[in-house]
Amino acid sequence: MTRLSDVVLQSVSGELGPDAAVVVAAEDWLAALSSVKRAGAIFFDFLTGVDSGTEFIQLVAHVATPEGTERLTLVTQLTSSVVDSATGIYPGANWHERETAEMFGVVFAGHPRLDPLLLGVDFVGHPLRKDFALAARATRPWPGLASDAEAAPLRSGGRRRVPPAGVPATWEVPNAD
Amino acid sequence: MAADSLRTWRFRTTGVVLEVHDLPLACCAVETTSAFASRPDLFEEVTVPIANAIRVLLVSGTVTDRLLPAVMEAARGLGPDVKVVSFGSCANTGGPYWDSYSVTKGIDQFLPVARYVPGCAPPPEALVSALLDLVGQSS
Repeated sequence: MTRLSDVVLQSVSGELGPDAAVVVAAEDWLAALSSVKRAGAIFFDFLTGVDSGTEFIQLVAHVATPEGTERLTLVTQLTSSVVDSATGIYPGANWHERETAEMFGVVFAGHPRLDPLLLGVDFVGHPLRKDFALAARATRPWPGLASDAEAAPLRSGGRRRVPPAGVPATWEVPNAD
Repeated sequence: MAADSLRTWRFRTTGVVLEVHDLPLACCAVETTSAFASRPDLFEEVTVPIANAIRVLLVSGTVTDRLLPAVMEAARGLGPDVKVVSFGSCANTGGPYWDSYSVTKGIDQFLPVARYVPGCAPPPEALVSALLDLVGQSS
């Protein structure tokens, strides 16, 4: 039996990454999904984005044969914020692409209805991107410290306050003292 | 979410009757449900409004910004005199989701809260204490 990863590697240029993930070029994204579906991976499990700090988002999709005997993860590094929608190949990708669009700002060209799935229509920004500022962290210190005594050494010594993760360095962070 | 679609409990203690509308949004529901079930001497489920009862909206669990309008609608449906009990850290402040992009940081930003019950999650006994305290009785 031909492995799903072999099918992709024969049909598009790509490489076998760690954990049996096949990494394909962004322009081969739909061709790769199409070839593994033809090879029997008709079960669409999920599609999502990964922000590794690069300029554009990575896409990850996971598909399987219906018996679950073979599973394959496909990965691509986008080279723009727009990619063709996979809904023509896997209708089940519909909601996953809507979620990836709102959370990461990826535009899926040809998607039948790219409205927000989970966020309100008035929500501004893409909250799973690394550059999305978590406003609560900028306006108050982390409330998880056991006591003020535990927090005190962090504030003394005149060291420059480092903004918490999720807060841009250019934001003014109020001193908790 | 209409108020009449919430499970409702009559809480009867000395000389006072509360009509408690349960609005459980997350794991705190395990504790509130346990409170109702473990104290049949205090709680009885009802399906029709109780005359002359103090109405209580029991908000427990994580209130998200998307769900907030439903919580507000439930509160409005119970009239201007409704007493809101905020049960657990999430309903009180956002709790462990204090920095989340999607969680409301405390229902008291939108509704006056009569009693806060701290804890993640508070034990069932804490609900009984809060309701008794609300009517000026000690547990």
